[in-house]
This record gives sequence, C-alpha cells and structure tokens, in this order.
Amino acid sequence: MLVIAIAATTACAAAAAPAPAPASASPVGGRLHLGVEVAARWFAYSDPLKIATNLRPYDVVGVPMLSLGGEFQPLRWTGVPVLADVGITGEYTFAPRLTSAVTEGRDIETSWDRGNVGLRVPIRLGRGERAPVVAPVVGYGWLDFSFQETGPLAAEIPTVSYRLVRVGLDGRIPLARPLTLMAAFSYLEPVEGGALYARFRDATIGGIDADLGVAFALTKGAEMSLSFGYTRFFSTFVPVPGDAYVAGGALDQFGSVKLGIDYAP
Amino acid sequence: MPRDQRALRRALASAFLPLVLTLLAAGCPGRLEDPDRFLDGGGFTCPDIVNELFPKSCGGTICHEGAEPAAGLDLIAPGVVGRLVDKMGRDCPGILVDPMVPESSLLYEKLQPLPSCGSPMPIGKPTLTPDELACVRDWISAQMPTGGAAGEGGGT
Repeated sequence: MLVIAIAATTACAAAAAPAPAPASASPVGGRLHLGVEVAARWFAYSDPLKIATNLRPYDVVGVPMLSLGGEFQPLRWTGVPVLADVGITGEYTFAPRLTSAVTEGRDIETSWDRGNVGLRVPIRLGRGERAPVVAPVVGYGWLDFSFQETGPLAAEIPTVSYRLVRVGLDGRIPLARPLTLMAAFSYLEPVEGGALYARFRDATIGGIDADLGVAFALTKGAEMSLSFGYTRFFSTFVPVPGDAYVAGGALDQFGSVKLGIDYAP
Repeated sequence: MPRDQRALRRALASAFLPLVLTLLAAGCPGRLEDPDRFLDGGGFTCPDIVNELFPKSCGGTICHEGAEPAAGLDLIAPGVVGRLVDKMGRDCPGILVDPMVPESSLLYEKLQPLPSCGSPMPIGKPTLTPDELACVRDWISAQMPTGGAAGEGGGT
C-alpha cells in the first residue's frame, strides 16, 4: 500500500508544476535526525537439507537500537526548483547491546548495525508548502549482523555483511495538520553478503526495503515521527551433492518500530 | 483537489498494484530441487572425468581448450590421457597425472583450495565438491603408468 501511496503522489507530477524552492536566508539546507528503534530479525533457510545439522535458523525480537542521521542540501542557494532541494543523506543505526542465546551453550555477544549514504531528489507535486513530495533515492548501504564466536558454531550461525546499492522512492503526503504520511520503498542490490553466503555454492541475493509512518509537526523546523520499517533479503543457492551446506536459499528479514525526531535549522 | 487529479492518482495507483505484487512475489528465496539426491544413498556417481568433468570445469577458449590453452594444457581435445599421464607441468613443477601417487599429481593439487603453485582451479567456475575431488583422485590412480617417460606437457 505504501508504494501505491507513492504512486498516487507521482500521478500529480505531470499535473502540477513544481513550485520554486522556498526562499531561505541560508545558502545551504538540511536536517538532523535522532531516533530510537525496537527491532527484530528473522532468519531461516528455504528447503534446508533435512539431515543437516549446520543450518541454524535465527530469531531475535525487541532489540533496542539508536539512530543518527541527516540530510545536507548543498544547492539550496541556487533557488532552482528541484535542484535546490537535492540532498545528500546519511544514517547510521546500531544496537548498543545484544546477546544471542544458543539452544545448547552459552550466550554469544552479537553486533548489529546498518547505515547508508545516498542522493535524494525531492520533487514537489504541487504548489505551496503542503504539496505532496516524492523523491527518487539512490545510494549505498550496509548491514552487518555478526557474532563474537570463533568455535565450530561460527560456521553454523547466520553472520551477514550486506553491502548494497539502493534504488528507490520516498514520499510525504500532508494529512490533516499537523500530520504527514511518510512512505518509502527501495530495491536493494547486494554486492556482497558476508560469511553466510560464502558457505553456499553460487549464492544470489536480492532485497527490498519499505517504510511507512506518520510525522507530527512540533514547531517550525521540528517534527516527531513514528514509522515501521521492513527489510527483506532473499537468496537462492545452487548446491550439488557433496557440498557441506545444502539449502535452496534463505530469507533474512528485519523489522523495526522507529520513533524519531527531525530538526531542520 | 480537482477531480481529474484524483482520477489520475487512482489510475496510476492501480497500475502500480501489479508492480508491487510482482516485487513481492520475486522476493522469495530459492527452492531445493530434488532434495533426495543430497541424502545418503541418493545415488551420487562419479562423472566421466574426461568427457564430463573436464569439459564442464576446465573447458573454454580462455581455459584449457583450443589452439592456445592455458599453461599449454588442452583438457578437451582427444588424447587427454596421453597428454597427462607421467607428463611434467609446463608452468608449475610436478607430474600432471602420477598414477603411483595420485594425491601428489599436479592436476589433483591444482584442484585444492591452496595449491603450492599458481591459482586454485577451476577459475571462474564452481570449485569441485569433495565427492568430485575423490573421483578425480580415483581416476588418476586408475590410469596406467607409462614408465616414467616425462616429456612435453603443460600445467593446469
């Protein structure tokens, strides 16, 4: 549904001429973002070999995470519609403390973080400050989920280090004041997957990422947001008899509830 | 909001619905074809080394095939056995196929993850499974020694 929302805003692109970027005293623009999340990961193999003992699923829910990010608009001074709003974005999110429990054995210290940098081109679909905005986004991101384990178990747990190219759209549709609907969808093209995928023959990985939420304007330039995020990596393996690891593929899902505050000076 | 804009939004939203469904459907993990072949007794049999494994893993014009094969070693043209058994490697030291000591054969060693000379083979193709490696070793040991007449040849 969130893509439909974005599509709906896109529909107005041809119907309404973009308004000039708002006049600003500063030659550049931007915003800062601080957030907290409660996140989860669900990992499972698809068609694992029934007799395999080295294909462990993994689940964790309720992980607190902290997020810091922002957007820098270096071309605000031009005053040219669209160009003036082009932004360089960045965000880093990490779990300050996480341990994983093993069915038999001690807990394992676990590290989870992700980040991205990108280029965002907001297009205002109408006139005035309350016009919907849709923004193509392209960027590079990473997501690391690793375990401080060096024993035999290390070869069985889902350590991943995704390095990926992100292409997508995000959008903002003003609702009744002071609320704004936020939605985003990206296709992720992982260029690297990490230790888990190196175990399997001919692994191919794809991914999608979606966010849906609501922003609440606090004062001019400041807003609070509540959103739901979902990231899904799907992979296919091509094992042959004799391989140490045999499964058809894997599904690695990440979800989170995000509470954030944005400030645009 | 003008009515035509709403209609346009609805139309485009409808158009995007199949796209969303396609993206979601494409987001599924792979399935394992014929799982029984991975189980014990699933019937793994050694491939024909010369006619199946060499063409699959070593063939190609920039590999060990054609007029100018890598390391001067053609593993595809007829007469492979004669070019391998008791012949010295060109770029790496050692006997290509030594039926008396199969695991010391250069051909077998180059299929290991860390060969003592050069890069592990095959390059750009899936590495051999332990079962396939065992097949290669057994194939080497099954060859008839030529009496030690090591001469021209190539490396893997």
